[in-house]
Amino acid sequence: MPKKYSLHKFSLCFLFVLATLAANSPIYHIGLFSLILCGAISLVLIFLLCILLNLGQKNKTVFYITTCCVALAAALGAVTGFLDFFTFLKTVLLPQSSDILLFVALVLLVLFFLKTPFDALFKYSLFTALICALIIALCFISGIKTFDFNALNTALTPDFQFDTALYFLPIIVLPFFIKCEAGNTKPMFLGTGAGVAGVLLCSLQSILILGADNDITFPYLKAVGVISSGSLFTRLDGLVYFLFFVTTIIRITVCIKAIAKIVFQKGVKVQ
Amino acid sequence: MPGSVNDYKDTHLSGNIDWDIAVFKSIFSRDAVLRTREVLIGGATRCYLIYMDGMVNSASQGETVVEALVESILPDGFIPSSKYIAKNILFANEVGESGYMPDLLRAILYGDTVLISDGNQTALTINTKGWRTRGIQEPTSERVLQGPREGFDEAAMFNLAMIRRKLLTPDLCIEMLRIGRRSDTPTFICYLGSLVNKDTLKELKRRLGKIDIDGILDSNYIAENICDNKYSLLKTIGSTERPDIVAARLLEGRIALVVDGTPVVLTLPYLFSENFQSDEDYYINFLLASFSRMLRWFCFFITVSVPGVFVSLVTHHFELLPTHFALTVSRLRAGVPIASAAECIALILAFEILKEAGLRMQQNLGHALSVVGGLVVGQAAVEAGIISAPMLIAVAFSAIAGLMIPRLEGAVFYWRLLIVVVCSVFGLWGFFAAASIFVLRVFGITSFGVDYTSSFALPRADTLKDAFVRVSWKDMKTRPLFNKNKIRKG
Amino acid sequence: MKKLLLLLPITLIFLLCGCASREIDRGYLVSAIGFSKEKDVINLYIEALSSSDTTDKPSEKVTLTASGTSPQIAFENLSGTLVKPLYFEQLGAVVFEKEINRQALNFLKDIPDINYGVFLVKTNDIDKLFKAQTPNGLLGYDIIGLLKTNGKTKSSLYAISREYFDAPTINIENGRLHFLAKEN
Repeated sequence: MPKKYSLHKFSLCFLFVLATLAANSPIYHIGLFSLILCGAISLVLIFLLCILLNLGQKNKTVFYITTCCVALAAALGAVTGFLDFFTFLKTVLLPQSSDILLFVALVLLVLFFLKTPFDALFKYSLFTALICALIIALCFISGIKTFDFNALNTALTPDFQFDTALYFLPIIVLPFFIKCEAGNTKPMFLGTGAGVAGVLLCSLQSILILGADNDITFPYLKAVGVISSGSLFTRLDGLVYFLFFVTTIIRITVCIKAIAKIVFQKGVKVQ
Repeated sequence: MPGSVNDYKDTHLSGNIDWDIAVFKSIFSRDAVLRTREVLIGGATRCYLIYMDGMVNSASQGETVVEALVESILPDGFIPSSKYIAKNILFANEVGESGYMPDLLRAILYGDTVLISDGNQTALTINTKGWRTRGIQEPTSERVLQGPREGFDEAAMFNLAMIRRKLLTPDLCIEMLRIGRRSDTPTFICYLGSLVNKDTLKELKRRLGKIDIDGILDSNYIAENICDNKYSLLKTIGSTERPDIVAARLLEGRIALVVDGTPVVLTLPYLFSENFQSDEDYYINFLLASFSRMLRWFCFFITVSVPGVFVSLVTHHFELLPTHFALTVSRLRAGVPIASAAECIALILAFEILKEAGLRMQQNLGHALSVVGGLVVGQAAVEAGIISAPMLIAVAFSAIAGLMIPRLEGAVFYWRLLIVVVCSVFGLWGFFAAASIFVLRVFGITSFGVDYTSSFALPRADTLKDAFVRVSWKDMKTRPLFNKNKIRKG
Repeated sequence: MKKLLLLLPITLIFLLCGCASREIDRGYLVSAIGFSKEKDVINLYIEALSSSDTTDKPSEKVTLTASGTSPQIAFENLSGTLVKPLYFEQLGAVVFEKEINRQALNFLKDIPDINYGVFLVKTNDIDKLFKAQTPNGLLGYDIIGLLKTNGKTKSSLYAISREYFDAPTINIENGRLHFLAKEN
């Protein structure tokens, strides 16, 4: 893939990481420490994976082990993303709708995204990443009035929970995906870093508004919902619905495409 | 009964004039418009003029052909050849020679006069075309406040002349082919030789060669046969009735297809951003043009989204409505018997009916229709409580916004309707899904191998300069991305 | 074949048009909720706007009450008597009699439609507050207006766990809302 897609790769990785925000699990009650740690570890992991993938081109055993780990992480990412978004649909967006209808619709949508060629997916990522970045910035800036900085004291307590790591583990799919389809990995690191920064910013906002002791599901959504800055910047939940939708669908698509590539395509080559 | 001129390719002239004229008369035996006239060249050699009444310029024919033949002086016993007649006797400015029957038949059918003479196995085709055309008028669908106002008419030759007047360069290439088994319609491929993409040209010729159809009456017949995806709501071949637009597109390295019998000229490849361009954008100040361009993009978003989003907000997501707005909508919707989604769909269809009726009806009924439409749909229905005012406003606003982008008219209607239906079932999530599907579809379309979104898919100044805004002509230094010859000034 | 498979979901979508949706005028738009506790009984008060079923009658304010041993049971008792559903998305204020009831608060947090920006206030006589006629018609929005006008906007649901949180006390006299004297 030509170098001109650098910004698109950056956007894809940015959105992939941001999907962590749509987690159903109340991971935010433990504060920022766990998130910062997981973010840093994930960046190291993807760096290691790049090295392993390069080594794997010469050593089949290393390649098979690496791709197995990637496949497992991808499966985890796809399943958790799907379940979390389905839960979000069921509990927040469409509580009146039938479960089967929602499930079928979500599956069809995922299938459509899977059928989309990579070029189109990359361009879609660039287009939506810009919107998502603006949403995060807008929500943060308009919510400053409601922040309580005392919550930071409890938010930075060093306490690690495993379920937080589960949401960051699928990030190791990115090096495999990018190296197979798009070659140059520098935008991937930048995109992942930007994604982690985005997650931290949103978590910070949730904590500063809702406090660090809550076990609220979809805390970022609830935090944005309270923003009422004048008559224009109010009821901003709709923007977060879009953010959750785009990030989750990108995560699910990338994970399943990676699995498909590992399982069905023999002699996978990375660039 | 043979159906096309090519069916006579095995028929030849014998040189015996009585036999030859009988052949032509038998071919056009059921055509009451064919005329034949016997003339003696120099008072000695017999010849026949064959032409279609109403298609020739009688005065020109009389002066340049008949008079020349009759008043010519030939040596005794000299039987002139076709070449001799063409060079030494006729006054007409365009004379061709052919013994190929399909060419002779085409000439007669297109308004030329065919001259067959005794002793010659070839005939002369003399340009005496005199059929009437509509003349140069401003196209009604592409009006501008500032800029050229010429428009094409149905004669391809005149259209080509108009294009040639805009591009005074020998680099302008015009290739002719005929399409249609029975109509044998002349179709011209125009391009600038040094700018055109050879692969696109080759692909176009390949697709044109595969067309097998009885007749071509409009360029859309060709467009639907050669387009990339016939089921796509978004068109991948541009069309225009203005020679300045064709010239501009040729200068960008595109190809134009001029079809005889229609003023609509096709241009390709066609990009998505062209749907938002107006002919006037390049003739007015770039700041004003940029504002109009951005407004069109915004209107596209409005026209497709507003009804669906409104339906999703009042049926699924009350939490997103500002409190006073929610109370107002609730109060105004009180007593409306039908569901919001059905109300929205009914209004969309009503507006489309009004719009279509407005196009088809006689002009003197326009006032009556606007009164009926406005009063009945607008006022009476709301007062009766059959529809609600907020929904009417949302749909009307969306319909008006849609008029800003006439090139996307059909696509907008279908997408608007689909989004309303999806939003009524799945709420805002359905809107995001439908919008994403639309965006992905657009990103995946190609027009003759060229990426449909190449004008804005890459975040670079040279690609975005004419997409969402129009930069000053001073900064328009490069051609579109699909053109290998990127530098505009040269 | 592929086109038929594509047409099937599109046709189904059209057939399902409007399914599982709600109409904003076909339910009670709740503007205020109130809780009071008498011994072991929780009293639930709901003030809502009810749109009429015909165009000639205007929308009207309704006050619904129910009781139960817990907020959940009180709510269920109330729901069993309603002809239209309750819509909590436009809830403005939650009123407690005398002191904030944590059990009621937890119950509210479990309702996904409720925005965390709703205001929490106290009152001395909740029955009088909900049954009185407020200046602009709807108690919940009048309470919001009063709080915003007086700059007392820190008593929202999301701020309940903050150190400085304190719900103001609001009473009604002669159709006018006012804060308790010592809090002015």
